[in-house]
Amino acid sequence: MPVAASAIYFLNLRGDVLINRLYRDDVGGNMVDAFRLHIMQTKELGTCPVRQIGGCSFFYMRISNVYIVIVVSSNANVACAFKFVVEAVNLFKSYFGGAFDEDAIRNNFVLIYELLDEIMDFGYPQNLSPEILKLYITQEGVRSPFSSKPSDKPVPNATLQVTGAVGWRREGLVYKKNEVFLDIVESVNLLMSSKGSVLRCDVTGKILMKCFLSGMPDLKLGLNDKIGLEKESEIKSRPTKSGKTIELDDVTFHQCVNLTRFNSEKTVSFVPPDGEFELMKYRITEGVNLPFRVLPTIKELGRTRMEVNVKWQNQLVRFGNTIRKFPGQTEATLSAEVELISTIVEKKSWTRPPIQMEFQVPMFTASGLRVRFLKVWEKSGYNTVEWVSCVRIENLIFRGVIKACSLISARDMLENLQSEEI
Amino acid sequence: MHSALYKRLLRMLHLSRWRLRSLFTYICFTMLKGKRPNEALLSINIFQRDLGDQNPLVRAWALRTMAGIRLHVISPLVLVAVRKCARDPSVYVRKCAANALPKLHDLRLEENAAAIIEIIEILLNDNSPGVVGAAAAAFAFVCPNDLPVIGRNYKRLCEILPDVEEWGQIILIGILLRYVIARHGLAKESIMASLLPNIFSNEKTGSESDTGYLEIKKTYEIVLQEPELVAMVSRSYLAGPDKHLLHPNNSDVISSDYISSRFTSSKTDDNVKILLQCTLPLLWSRNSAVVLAAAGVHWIMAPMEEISKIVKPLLFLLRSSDASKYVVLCNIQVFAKVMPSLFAANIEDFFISSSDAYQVKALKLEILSSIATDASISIIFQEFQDYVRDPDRRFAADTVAAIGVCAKRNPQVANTCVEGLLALISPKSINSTSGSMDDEAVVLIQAITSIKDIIKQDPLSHENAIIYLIRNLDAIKVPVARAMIVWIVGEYNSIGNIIPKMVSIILRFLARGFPSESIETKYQILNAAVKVLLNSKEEDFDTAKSILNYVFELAKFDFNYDVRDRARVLRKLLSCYFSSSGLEEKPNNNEIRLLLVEHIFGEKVKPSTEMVNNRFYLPGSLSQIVFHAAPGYEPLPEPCSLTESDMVKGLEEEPTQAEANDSDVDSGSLNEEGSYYSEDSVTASTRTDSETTASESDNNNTDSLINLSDVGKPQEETNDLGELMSKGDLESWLDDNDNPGPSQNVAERVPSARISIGDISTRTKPKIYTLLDPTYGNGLKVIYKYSLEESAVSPPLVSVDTFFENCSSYSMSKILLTNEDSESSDQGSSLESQKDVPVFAPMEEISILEPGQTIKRVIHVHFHHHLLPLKLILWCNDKKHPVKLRPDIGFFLKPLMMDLDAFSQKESQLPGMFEYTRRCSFTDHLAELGSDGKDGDVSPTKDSFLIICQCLASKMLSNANLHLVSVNMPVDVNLNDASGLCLQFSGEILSNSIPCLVSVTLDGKCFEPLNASVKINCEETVFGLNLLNRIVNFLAEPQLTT
Repeated sequence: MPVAASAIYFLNLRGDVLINRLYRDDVGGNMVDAFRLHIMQTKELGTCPVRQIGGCSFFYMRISNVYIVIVVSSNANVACAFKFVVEAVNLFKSYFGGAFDEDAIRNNFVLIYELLDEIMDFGYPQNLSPEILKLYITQEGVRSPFSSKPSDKPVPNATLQVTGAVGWRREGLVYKKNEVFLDIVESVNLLMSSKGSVLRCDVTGKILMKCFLSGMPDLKLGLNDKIGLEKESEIKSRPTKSGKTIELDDVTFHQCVNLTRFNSEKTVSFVPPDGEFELMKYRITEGVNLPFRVLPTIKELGRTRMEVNVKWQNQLVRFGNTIRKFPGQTEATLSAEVELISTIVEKKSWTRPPIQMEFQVPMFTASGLRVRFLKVWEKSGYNTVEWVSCVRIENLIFRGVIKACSLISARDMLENLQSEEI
Repeated sequence: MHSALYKRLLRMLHLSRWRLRSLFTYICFTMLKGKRPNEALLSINIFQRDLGDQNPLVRAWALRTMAGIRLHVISPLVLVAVRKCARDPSVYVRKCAANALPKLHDLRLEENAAAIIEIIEILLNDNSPGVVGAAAAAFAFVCPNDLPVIGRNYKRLCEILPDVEEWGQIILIGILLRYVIARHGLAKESIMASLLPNIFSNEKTGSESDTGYLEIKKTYEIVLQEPELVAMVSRSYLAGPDKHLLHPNNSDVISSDYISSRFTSSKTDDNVKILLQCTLPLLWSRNSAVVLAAAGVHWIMAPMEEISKIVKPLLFLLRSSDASKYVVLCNIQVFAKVMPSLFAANIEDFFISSSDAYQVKALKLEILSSIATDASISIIFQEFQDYVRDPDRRFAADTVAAIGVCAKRNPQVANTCVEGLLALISPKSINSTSGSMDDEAVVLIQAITSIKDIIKQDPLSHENAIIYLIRNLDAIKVPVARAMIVWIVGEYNSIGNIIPKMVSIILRFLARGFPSESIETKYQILNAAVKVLLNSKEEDFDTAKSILNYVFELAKFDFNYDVRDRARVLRKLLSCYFSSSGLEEKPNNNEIRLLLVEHIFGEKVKPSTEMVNNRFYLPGSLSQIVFHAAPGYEPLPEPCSLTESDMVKGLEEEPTQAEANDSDVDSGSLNEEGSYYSEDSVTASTRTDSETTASESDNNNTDSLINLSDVGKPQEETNDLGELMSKGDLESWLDDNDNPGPSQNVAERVPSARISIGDISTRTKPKIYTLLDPTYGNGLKVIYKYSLEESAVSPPLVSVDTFFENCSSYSMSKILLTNEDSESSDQGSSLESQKDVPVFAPMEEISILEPGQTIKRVIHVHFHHHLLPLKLILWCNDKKHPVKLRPDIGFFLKPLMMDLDAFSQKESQLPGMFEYTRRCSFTDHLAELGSDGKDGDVSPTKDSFLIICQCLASKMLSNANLHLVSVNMPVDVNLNDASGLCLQFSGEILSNSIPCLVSVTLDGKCFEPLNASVKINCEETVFGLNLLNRIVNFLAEPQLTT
């Protein structure tokens, strides 16, 4: 079960190999042909990401116009392999500065080779964190074809960081001004039946941090949550304080968070990596206040045209005045006429794609999650400036009847608020 | 790869930055694939040098690269390197050492196995979580079943688990689970308890009537709906489903094996508890694979009422990438089947959104249908209604199938289901949807299959449904669907009140249309007609008979032979009904026929709980997703198979290892050596002539002279040495744990004396090789031996004395040795530039060789450490003779004069990495001693020692161009015990003047074969190892009879 990959291939949509890397010799080099023949050229593509052909198993994912195929010959850990691919793609993106597609691969051939060599050793995934890898793989991603500038100077700090006891932070950092930024970003997922009733509504949120702190600080974060597992016993021993606690259904933490301590003390304590990172993700299913109601209607005007109306009600009075364009308790209608391409096969009936809406509301979270405190502790005892902001990026997904994707953003200036120190 | 290109690459390696070197390995690995091991070897020295670098990153990469080359030849080198790096002060280097182990193991070299496992254990003991993670990976790859190793560190590993890096966690979790089961057994509160005997029966057995047991039983009955399924899953986890499938029927036998002693309690057993506790926080990990692995442990080991902890983390994973979503769903599917209550409250999470991939949709449907409860079924059905209208008809068909499964599981909603399904097959709905006919047919067939399955459960209550189907028969055109409806008609022809009345009309209708039906419908019409006949009562019997007769007649002339054959068989079987007076006669075979018919058609189908898929594999494995055991899949170990004695066996070994570990930590060998020196000074043996060396040619005293001398170094030197050693990074390399052999220890601890053994140069006989045999060379015989003299042409060249002898009766002319390539004429100029190719300096031509004459020529060759025979061309009388010159690594050296002090100092500078030891046996002395012993017992001690030394020294010097530095022997020896006798030689490599020290220590009785332990200290590691092999080879070789 331990191995994640024997070989990894990057193919374009036609099935040409862009890059490959063999990590073990237990799979033949021609296995990718089997993939082309049996998977890419059949209808099976895109249905099941795990296929077995001959003695080899193929795990594949499509990312933009590239197929990433992992080949293993033994009983590998599939989840691990996929996670590896996802992480690797994130890493590549951060090197290329955004897009990951066929062109990006072609332009960054050498870089990818070097990265592939580094992030997996004999089929075992290694450190995949971009912040650390960038310290010693200093090639820059090629953003446009002609602007490559290789820089060959190994960064002296690399040694310290890579080989240090704390894998994600290097020692000896000094900042003039010690700052911490904390953002809460939530996305609301709403599943509505075709009749308009709410089937499921949950909030997936993440806490993003940006740290510019000197030394090896120990941070402690307090939220107004009650976390599942040993909640019952806690509630029994002392009565719940009035109202404002939020029950997090689920949390996952960045590697830096001390999980044992979270388990016992219920506080999130960690030594942060330098720079930007995602501290935690959570999910809340209960007590989500829906800010909007969206009522899509659709009229088919003949075979190639249709009219789409989205009625949109703001249900929050509180925030009426913070959103310029959209005062509370009002309705807005978005009308659109969609011209369909006439080549669409008539028989094929309408699939209902999700509606996505994106916007920001400062200082408010759909789940009601609040940061109670953020404590920074460091040996030298410097002062830190903490910036906490709660941003809600709504990402309402309706199983509605609309193809158009409406993007409404009300980007007001964020008020940065200093946290209350306890 | 072209070798020239390779060489260029190799040269680049010297210059380029170290980051690129690991990519270089990749090239070696993919391109060379072991075809050119010698060339790969050339790169080794660079990595070896890097291994001593101050920067841990460089050390780590050097190791990683070296391990990546994966050639058998260098595996001993890599092993030595790994051993060193496993004790490196830097965490990262230790982690890389752990990573290198699987690569080493992958070479499948027997001799390395034990060492690798030993290193793994050391690394598993490491304090740094990062190292432990990598060590766990190595363990899982190298020796997954060597569980006592885990047992020794179990608690610590559990505690360190949350801090291990994410990829390592996945593996470590699996290992710990296997260990707990092998050592402590399964948890009786977990789902695996389904293997407990009598868990489902009501009888109480005496031993297990305690309250705990009853409680478990109670939970069992509440939580699990399908105990059979659970038991099967549990058995599959343990035995592997393939084994289990082989004996599907004697499952009782298997389960009775699992007596309750194989079970422990997850509530009281600390070992189980700690595992569950430590994996609990991992459920919040960001890495989906970690979450899945942790969930797997809880699934198997946690008490049933606590398994619910894994639900939310698992559901959270559904938010990750599509591929991960699929993997997680595959696993949830099994969990949901076994324990539907687990996910019952979370149906919304499995609702399908249009952007899901088909496979994901199908999985979600399956999960939904298995977790549906009375409370949630209505909501689920509302959803299903939407799905049925999905444009993807395959998915719609799946939905219809799922509805059928739901109805089977919850009989009280069966009616609703049937109604919904019937609506689907109504002519209106068939025509209204605009999809293509093929797609629709799939849905229709599936709908009728589902209805059929539901009806099977309780035919009586679905009478109306059957009637509805029959009424719509006309509108349904799809052959398979029609055939199924006809089957239903035949099967349930006597159910209820209305159907029996309708049946004959339907049959008549079907019979009329028989010729135009499709084949499968025809079969079913035949069958249905027979069934109706068998079931019909008196008044309808004749009608049924005539209809059947009519059908038979039609079938007789059918185009399809199978239809014709079937009709004929059926007719024969039923001949009693059709013969004019059949019923009265009742011959024997008529009875048999009737019985047969009864058997074929009479038996009512029982509602069967068919298992769609009955293969279960451990959660998280690839096998669980592809549904067959992938290579390398291992089920859980046999519970309690790891006995106390296994553990004790491990423990007995432990102290030595623990000791070793302790000394590792504080690089203890330093202290050890320190104490050795001081001890030595206490014994204060007199120091005499330290200059006495064996090669002093003017020492004519052939009798043995035992000069007592102190081989220990003066006190102040210890300080120097200490200072040297404390120089930063070197520390880690100095700490030598090469398991110094016992003989070596003796030699070090016991004050020893130095003996001089006169001149042995007379005894050295360099081996003579044949270059050209007279039989092949038309009478020309060429022999050569390696000369001890330095080459006159250029220092790095090896000089070879070559003798040309004319054995024929005619004279020969123009004898010349040249390189194989023809353009060898300008050798001289390219001597320097061509770096790595063996170079042969041009030889002076022998113009004429008379019969019987022998001429000696010295040829000079630069082997560049190549050990493959050098191909040369021997020209004679303008004829070519291809010949091969065998290199002898022993003569790639030249003697390096040094005294004992210099030797010891040099030796101490080349510890650890640069030191290799091998053992062999030495028997040469036996021949000489034997003859001496017979002559008379004149001071056997003295003589035997001397003879041994002489034999050994001459053998060494005959085969390698070395300088004998000294011969040491222990002072307090037994008469016959040669143990501790130590010869030291020194030399330097011709090509680069790197010194190379050889010590041979003997062990054993004088008159028996001795054990020789040969130790080499040399910076040039490849050369050193090769030389070591050579020395061991020739020492073990029996003496040539002279």
